[in-house]
Amino acid sequence: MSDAIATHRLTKYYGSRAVVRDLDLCVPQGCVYGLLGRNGAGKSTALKMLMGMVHPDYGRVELLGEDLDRLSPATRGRIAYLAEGHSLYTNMTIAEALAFNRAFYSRWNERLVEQALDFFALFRRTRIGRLSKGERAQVSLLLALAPEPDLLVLDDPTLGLDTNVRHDFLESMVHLIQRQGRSILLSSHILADVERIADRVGVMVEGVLRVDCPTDEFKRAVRKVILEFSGVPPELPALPRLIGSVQLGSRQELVFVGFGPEQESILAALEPSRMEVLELDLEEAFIEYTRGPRRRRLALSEELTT
Amino acid sequence: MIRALVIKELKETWLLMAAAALAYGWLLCGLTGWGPAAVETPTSNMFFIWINRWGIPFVDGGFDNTFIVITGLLAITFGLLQSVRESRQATYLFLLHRPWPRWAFFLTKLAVGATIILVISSLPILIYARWAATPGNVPAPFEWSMTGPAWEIWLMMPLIYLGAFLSGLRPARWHATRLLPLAASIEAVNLRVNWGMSMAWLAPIYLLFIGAICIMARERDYS
Repeated sequence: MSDAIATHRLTKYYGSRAVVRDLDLCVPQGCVYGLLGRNGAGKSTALKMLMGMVHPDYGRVELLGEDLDRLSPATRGRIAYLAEGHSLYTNMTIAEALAFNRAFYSRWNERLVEQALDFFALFRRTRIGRLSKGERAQVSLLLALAPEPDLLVLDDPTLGLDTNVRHDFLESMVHLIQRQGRSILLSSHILADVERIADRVGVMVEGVLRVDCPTDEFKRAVRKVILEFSGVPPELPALPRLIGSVQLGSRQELVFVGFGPEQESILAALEPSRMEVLELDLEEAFIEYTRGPRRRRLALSEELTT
Repeated sequence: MIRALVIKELKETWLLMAAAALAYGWLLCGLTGWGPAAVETPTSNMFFIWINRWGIPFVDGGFDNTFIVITGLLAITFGLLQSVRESRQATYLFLLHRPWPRWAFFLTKLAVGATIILVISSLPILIYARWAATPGNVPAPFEWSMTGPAWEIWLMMPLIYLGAFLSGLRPARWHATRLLPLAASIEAVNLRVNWGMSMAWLAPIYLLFIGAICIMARERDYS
């Protein structure tokens, strides 16, 4: 079975700056993949390149086994794309947007539309311009799901939504998208959202995919170690897999990707009065991982690409 | 699919169509002496455009000059509206992901825009000609061939529309360079109206603009 999404060295420059560089992304069939990254990391540009909205300067994309340059309308019809900001025609009513969308698809699940309208408490006659951001996101999701796509590409679907609406939106998304074999690529900078639904995560830093591994593995790999000393902490020796360190008085905080016996024994030799190894949730792991010095991240990225 | 897209385009542009109808109505009232805009003096300045109610229709009545200004503005607004609005609302990302060839979206848009401009702008010519042909309205003979120059202008107006559409579609750092296609289309009309460029050039120029729009639609980034 071919991958739902496969890219090979996808690269995009804006001026002299590489927004996305050598992106080799692989989303297996049936996988929910969370693409993480800080603002400006290149997530949206990468997704737009996947959808053919932005032309790469180099590299190629395969979607559902077809080369993007030769993507047939039938295959495109099996792919749903929710652009960032939920851009819809605000002068249309929900009914008009549904009718407009339906005209382009051979597959259309009217029962799902009815259920979703009922679930979201949306009325067909409401003009999209009058909807709240959350409701607009729901309409976008509904329009994306009605043709029963095999692949969903969602660009920061919860951006701009408040906590409650975001929660409800994700709940409904999980409820509506769960279907055997459906692949989802979801970009977000709200890590808790991704943690709940993604089987696999990728982390983009400055246009480069630094991490590509199962979600649990990423969480397991990033560890924070707190060392307490009686006085000023000693000079740190060379520590493999260290991605960041902060000294706060007599306390030294270290972040590792892949903390093991080797690092533990080196740290024990420093004779701290207390050593604590903390597990991080995805958000903490992401923050720690993406704010470390660049050379460290470069050195460690290979460790996590499995 | 085509029907859905045509309906969408019509809904988005009906206000402009209504404004154009009002402008043409104003022109016809001035030329024929109907309604509130009736001009009682031999010549009148309507928005800096001289029209002459008592001139020979289509010959020295000032119809062509006023018609070219109103229709030109309609074509420019139409072209920019259809292309820039999608960019501003970021709806190209929504529209172009529908499973249909990208060129088909743009050609349908262009067909709708050009057809609307041709249909709406044909009405004042037909109405004015019909009025001029009615005995008792003008103390001069009327031949339908007198409407020839007006029809030539009518035929060239979609070119300005295409120039405006291409300007709206084409990303450029400076507005001045972005408007180059529009300027080129206006110059092509100018060459015909004022310098007698052969009408035979019209077809290749149309093809050039349509081709440029299709290439731009395919090559540009929608970000």
